Amino acid sequence: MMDKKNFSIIENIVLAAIFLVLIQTFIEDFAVVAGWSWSIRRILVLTGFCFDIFFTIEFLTRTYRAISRGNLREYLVTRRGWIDLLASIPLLLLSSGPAAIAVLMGGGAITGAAGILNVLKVVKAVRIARILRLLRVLKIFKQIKNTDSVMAQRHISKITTIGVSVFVGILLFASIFIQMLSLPTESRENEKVVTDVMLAYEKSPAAVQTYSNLLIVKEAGETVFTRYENDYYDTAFGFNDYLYAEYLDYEFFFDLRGIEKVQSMNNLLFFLIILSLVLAYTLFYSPHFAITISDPIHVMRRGLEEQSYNFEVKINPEFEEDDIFRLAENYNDIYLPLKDRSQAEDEPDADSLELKMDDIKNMF
Amino acid sequence: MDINETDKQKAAAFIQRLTANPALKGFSLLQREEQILQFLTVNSRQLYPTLSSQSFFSGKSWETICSILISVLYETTDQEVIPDIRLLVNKMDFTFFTFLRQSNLDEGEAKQIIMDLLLKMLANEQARRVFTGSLAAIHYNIVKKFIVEVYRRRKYIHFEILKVEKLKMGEKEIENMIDLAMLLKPLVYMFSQQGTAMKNTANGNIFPNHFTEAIAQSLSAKAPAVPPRVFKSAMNANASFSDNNQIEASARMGNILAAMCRNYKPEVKKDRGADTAMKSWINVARKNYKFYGYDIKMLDELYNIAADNGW
Repeated sequence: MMDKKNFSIIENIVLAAIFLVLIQTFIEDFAVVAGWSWSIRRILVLTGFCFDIFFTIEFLTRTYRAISRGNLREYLVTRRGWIDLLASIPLLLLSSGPAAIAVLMGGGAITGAAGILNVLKVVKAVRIARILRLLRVLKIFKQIKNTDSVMAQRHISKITTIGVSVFVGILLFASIFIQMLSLPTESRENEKVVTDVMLAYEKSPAAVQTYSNLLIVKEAGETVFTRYENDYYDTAFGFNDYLYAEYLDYEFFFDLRGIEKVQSMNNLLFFLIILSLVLAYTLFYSPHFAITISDPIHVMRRGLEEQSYNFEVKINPEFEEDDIFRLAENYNDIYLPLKDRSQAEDEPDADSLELKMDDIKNMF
Repeated sequence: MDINETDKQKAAAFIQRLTANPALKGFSLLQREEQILQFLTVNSRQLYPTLSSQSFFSGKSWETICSILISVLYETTDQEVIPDIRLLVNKMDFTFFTFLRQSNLDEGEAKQIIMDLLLKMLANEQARRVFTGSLAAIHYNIVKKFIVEVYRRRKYIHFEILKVEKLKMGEKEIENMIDLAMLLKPLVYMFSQQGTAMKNTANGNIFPNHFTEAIAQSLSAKAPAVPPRVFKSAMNANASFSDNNQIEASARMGNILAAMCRNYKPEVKKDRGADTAMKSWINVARKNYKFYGYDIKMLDELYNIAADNGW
């Protein structure tokens, strides 16, 4: 059985991984927006893949432990293992996995694009699945104790989970519906333009070559037009930065980086919205919850349990009509004076003393 | 009680380790002593098998062991607390005696008499417990804190001190007089015997006013170097204002502040959501003013002072 120290080390590693993956998620999209070279973005894609493997292993390990202890339901529901699930396996299978395969198969090289078409088919699924990465922000809540009160921690986590999950859910379903209902999108508009370009090429290739997103045209395997040198393609284009299409004897490569930038900007926006939501709940709602619920309860509980604890609950006039503060008023005005009067008759008990038997166990 | 040297050494070593325990950090010497006394009482069952073993006090009854330990504990505390008290008394300014029509002020003699009385008083266990609050209040300048505000506000307490008790002296002199009254307050226990009518409370006993007046007179007769009004104020700090609303304001103030400091720990960390220790104590005292015989109007003003200053 794993001892407590090792378990704590592993939990800290998981926590560190969560922080790192959030940074990685941000940088991966930022790299697209900032137009960083493919060699850097390639590393980021592979790093994302490694993180997804790590979190999949983490989820499977936790699931195995839960099953062996007979508390799978508790893990998945109460301890929100469903977040671990959604933020691991689907991402590995639908997002970083296919992306890593494309990179490792040489999909990044525009000039030697074998098997690209198969990869491109999953690009849309990859993009949708990436939304699930945003759920990882919630994993932080599982690892960090932002308050001493278990109740406060649970309530803040709950409300944050609801807020973030609803937001991610809406994004996910909106993306799926847009795909299913063939609603007009920038990507779809682009596909239409691409079709028009290919149809027009045979009649007036020179005119079509002015279309700035057309990168390369090959006729019977021979390059008849290229906008940039091969070196530039190698350094600037990743596997999902271009579109490959065939028409008659022609092969066309189109620049998709503009669309990728827009999508990455959206991702960054969503990411910042979620971070802001979580921060807002933590910075504003959490103290409010503490002041109005958990702190007064904590003071009253100690006053009831400990003979020598005689602090009153501080009642904020703004909330004095709240049930909790009306209870606190009774605690202050009735219970504490009664307790104080009875202390003359009560014998001191071990709990009321600062010096405990445990403090002197090394003396003998 | 005669304690042989070996037992004394063992007891001293045991008490030494108890007093040095980090759990008792932040307590004053007498508070620490009270904690250890209560610790011995509460944990007698667990402690007895070990303390009656061969390495400690072999074969002795718990009562015997306990009295050895208590005797050594008092000795240990006294070794530290008596020099502190002497320093405190020597530092006290008794010039306020002149305002009490004490024409032949001999501060040195007065201090010596007070010190002698206090040393005798320390032999009384109950007096030691009440003395904890008095000593802490003086040590932490609690009277000064409040008197400055009382003089600034010029409300009920100010009126009671200056107009009713007619202590026509400055802020500093009033502070010294209340400090001295608090210091001498526990002397009453030297005179109380079994059968003395008194009410037992968590903050000490409440004695009938005629008893405290009689003790004050007796002390004044024994110690003419100290003005009778000082003894009167000190002894009446043990009486109930509910029984006699003529009790001096300085006595009422000394009574409240000494009781407040009985368990006062300046470094105590309050929980978030809790009021300060001082405000909490005064507010509970306001609710229990009849029980303890406090002056409710005085408590109200002290509460407002503590609240306004965030104490």
